[in-house]
Formats: sequence, structure tokens, C-alpha cells
Amino acid sequence: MMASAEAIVFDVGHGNCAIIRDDALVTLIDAARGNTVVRALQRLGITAIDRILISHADNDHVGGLLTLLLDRRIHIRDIYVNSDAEKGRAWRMLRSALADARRRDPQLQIHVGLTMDMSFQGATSRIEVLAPSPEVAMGGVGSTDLHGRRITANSMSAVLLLSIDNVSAALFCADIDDAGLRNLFEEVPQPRAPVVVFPHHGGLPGRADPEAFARDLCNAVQPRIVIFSLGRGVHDNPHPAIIRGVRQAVPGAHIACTQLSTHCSASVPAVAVSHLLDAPAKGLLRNACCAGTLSIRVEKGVVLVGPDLRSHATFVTRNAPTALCRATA
Amino acid sequence: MTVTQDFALRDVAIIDDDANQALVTSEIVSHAGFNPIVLEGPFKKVDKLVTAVRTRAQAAVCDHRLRYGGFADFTGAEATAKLVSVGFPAILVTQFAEQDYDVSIRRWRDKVPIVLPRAEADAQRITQALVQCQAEIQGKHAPDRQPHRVIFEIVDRSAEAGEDVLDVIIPEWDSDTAVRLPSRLIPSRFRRKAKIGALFIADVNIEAQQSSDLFFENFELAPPPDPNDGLG
Repeated sequence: MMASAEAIVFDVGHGNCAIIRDDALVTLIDAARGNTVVRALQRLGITAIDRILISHADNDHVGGLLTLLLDRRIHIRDIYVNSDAEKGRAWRMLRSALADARRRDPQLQIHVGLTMDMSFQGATSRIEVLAPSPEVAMGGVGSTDLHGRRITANSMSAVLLLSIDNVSAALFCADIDDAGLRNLFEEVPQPRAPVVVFPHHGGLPGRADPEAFARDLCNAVQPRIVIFSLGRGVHDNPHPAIIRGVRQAVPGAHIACTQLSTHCSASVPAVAVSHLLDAPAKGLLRNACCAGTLSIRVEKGVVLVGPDLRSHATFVTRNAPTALCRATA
Repeated sequence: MTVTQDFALRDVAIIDDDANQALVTSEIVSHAGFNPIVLEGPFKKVDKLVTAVRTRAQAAVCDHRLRYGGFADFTGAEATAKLVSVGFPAILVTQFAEQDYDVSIRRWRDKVPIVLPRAEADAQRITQALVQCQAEIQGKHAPDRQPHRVIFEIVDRSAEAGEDVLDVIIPEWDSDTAVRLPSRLIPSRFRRKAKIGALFIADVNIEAQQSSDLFFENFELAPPPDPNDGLG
């Protein structure tokens, strides 16, 4: 019997990157800068990536794509990305790196447009794009939506729902802000998933009230596990108001930050920790992992997250007893 | 403290244009369990120094600014790089790290695994540095010394200490912090293209935490975007 797909959400510091392996099919969701992604691919013995889905063109989501395109050992088949109207330095470099990669892999295709109603099928998995809608994407960055809300690059973040064995497993929210969230809810009022990779690394969602934003998102998604993919000391994430909002909506959810927030502990543990998944994690360099790199799989219809979340909870109790995740709403 | 128990080296050359500083370094190296051998200059050519060091010692601790005492017309970074290039463990110790990182040290940084600020150069750190240098010579690069093929943009061109320098942005390292390097690092066949806005590809150790630890090698011109790639 074919093994089910597995997703790995990497600790890349401030940024996002997840790899989904479904039999021989390899999908990457975002590629944060740094070489954690490359090390992960090497560790997994992956030299061919079937598709890369880039939620939006911020460097902490697309910077690593440059590294992958320029790495002569890596072969990529398809890249999906929404157009960046600003077309600044990052976009220019992406186009140059793409030209370099195509010299080695002429079949490499880049598809402009990652919008709602697109989906990507694997042997046991399915990735559905829930946002942005084609209408929002058509307006682009700098436009306003039908309700007069200004659309930023974050508003246009692609939101992806991963299902494994026909079970909704994880929602990847990239950096979606309040405008993007409202547009998502208009199309998909209840994007349910037991695991959510929270938007914007737990940072502020634009000008909206962060507590209300987090509460509304979690009320709609109803996650059991909330993952914050963040870098210790970067932008003081997660914002305490975000955590309050999460707790108000889903008080029993397990909160898992990839790295140990400075809100939760003034220092990193003095000794190496033992609860982490055996996988590349940027926080290992400074012993700054909290939950570290996480795996998501489905067994007998149940979504499981590794490493053992009870071990993670014990780690927090011992090393960060005043952690944000331990406070009640 | 017998820090040399796991370290096969014994004689360590001390390369410094300041005799008093050479004495201080010798004491530290001796405390680390090594036998310091102070080299006496002057050396007109770096190859002569390399030969002298290799015939008298098994490792070297090298000061960076060697000119002031008339010791040599080349820098310690160059000397260290030449030693490491022939498989000889050598580290750079300097009190001018902040001033010299971007230009005269960067020029040789790919072959200088360790740069120790003099204030941090105690017995333990010197030993650790020599061990790490030896490991890199044997092909075991520390993660922050692993080069990756990256793309960067030249955002400014100016002069520092009489040398033409470039300020570049490497998004795969940090899109908000410019890194300075001497323009002579760019191969001469590409140098006239090294203008503001130009894109280059090079191997850079992007896991380095500090700008001062970045090195660049294997430069290429970045290809122009394909006008038909759909991203224009």
C-alpha cells in the first residue's frame, strides 16, 4: 500500500518553507532565504522538485527560490507565483536566476498566477489554492478590492489548503493580512484545517486589530495546532495580541513556534534540547528552536504533527514557564 | 590546561610586525600548549614567508597589518590565505578587524577560515581556531563557511582607503544590509561591467551571521532576464 503524503514545515527562522512529499512527487510551498531549504533537500535526497508554489514575492518567502534556481544540483519543473506589480530588485533577480536555471533545464516553466480554484493533485494529497481570488489578483498590488480595501502584496498572499488521504490537514496562510482574510472569507467562510501555519509569522496583520484578526481566523479555521514560523528576535514575533486572539478562539489549541520567541524566554537553553524532529532547522545553530521543524501526516484519518507535542509542551514548561502560549485568554 | 591533547600540531609560527605584540601572542600560544616560534622579517614576497613558516612550524598565528613595522609589503590576510591554500593551518588575529574586514581582509576571506579580534584571542580560542582551520583544510567546512551560488546586485561604488569598493545586496543573505567588497575581487574580464545596478552570481557563504565573515568566489555575470518569461 502506498505511503501517504507527508508535509514538513521547516524552521527557517523568519520566513516560510514547507516540503510536501507524495510518493515521488515533491512540492515546495515558499522558500525562505538561507540554506535551510537546500540542506533539507540534501538530507532528504531530493534533487528534483516538481513544483514550487510561491505565496508572494517577499524575500522571506521567495529569497530561497533564488538559491534553488542557482543550485546546479537542483532541478525544478514548475514554479507558480503571482505577479509582483512593484517589480523591484527581488523580481529582477528572480528573472535573472530563472534565466540561469533554464540554461540547465530548458523545460523549467514559471507560471504567473496562483489563484483560487487552482489545485495540485498528488497520489494521496491535494493542494487547493483558497486565495487570492482571480478578481483580487487581477487588480494586483496597489489596487482596491470591491469593498474599497487596499490590496497589498500581503493581501494577495496565496493561501493553500493541504489535504492528505482526503482529510484536510493544514492551511498555509503565508502573510495574508486583514484585507486578504476578508476576501478569503467571502469565498471560503470556513477554511477548516486541524493545523494552521499562521499568517505573517505571528506579526501584525497590517493596520487591523491583531487580536480580532487572530480570533476571526482561528474561529473560521478551528485549528488544533497553530504553527508560527518565526525567527527568534526578529520583529518581536509572535505579537502577544495575536496569541490572545488565538486563545480566545481556540483555547485548547497547541501553539508551536518554530523558534523560541524573546517574549517567552530571555535566553536560549544552555544545553542542546532533545524533543526536536531529526531534520534541518535554522534554530539549531543558536539552540533557539522551540518546536523546531515540524512534520504533518495523516494516519487512519487522523492528522498527526511531529515531533511529539507533549514533549514540546514539557520543553516549554521547563525552559519558558512564562511563555506566551501558556497564558490563557 | 592541556588543550593540545587532541591536536597534533606542536610548533606555531607567530607572524607580527610588532615585536612586543609578537611576545604577547607567543605567551598566549605557549599557554595553549604549543611551542611559539616568532618569525623575524622583513619579507619582500609572501612566498618567502610561506616557505619560512613551513620549514619552521606546523601552524601559524598571523597579524594582519604587517607594513608598519617594515615586516612585509603584503597583509597578514594574504599570508594566511597563501598558507591555508597549501594545506597549512593558519589563523588571522588583528586589532583592526572592524576597519579591515570589508576590504583588505575580504579580499582573501575565502581562504582565511578564522579571523580573531585580538581582544578575543585567548589560548582556548586560538586552539579552537586552529582546529577549525585544519578541519576546513580537510574539507569539513563549518556550516557558516559553506559557499552557495547566489545572485547579488551592485548598489554603490566608491573608494575606501584608496581602494575601489563595491556595496552589494545579497537577498539570500539579507536584503536589507549592503555588503562591501573590493572591486578587484571581481575578475578583470568582468570588472568594467561592475556598475551600479549590475547583477552578478558568485559563491558566497550565506549562512554566516556577520557581514564580516562573508567571502566571495567564482564570479559570473548574471544572465539577463528572458523577455518572454512572462514575468516582465
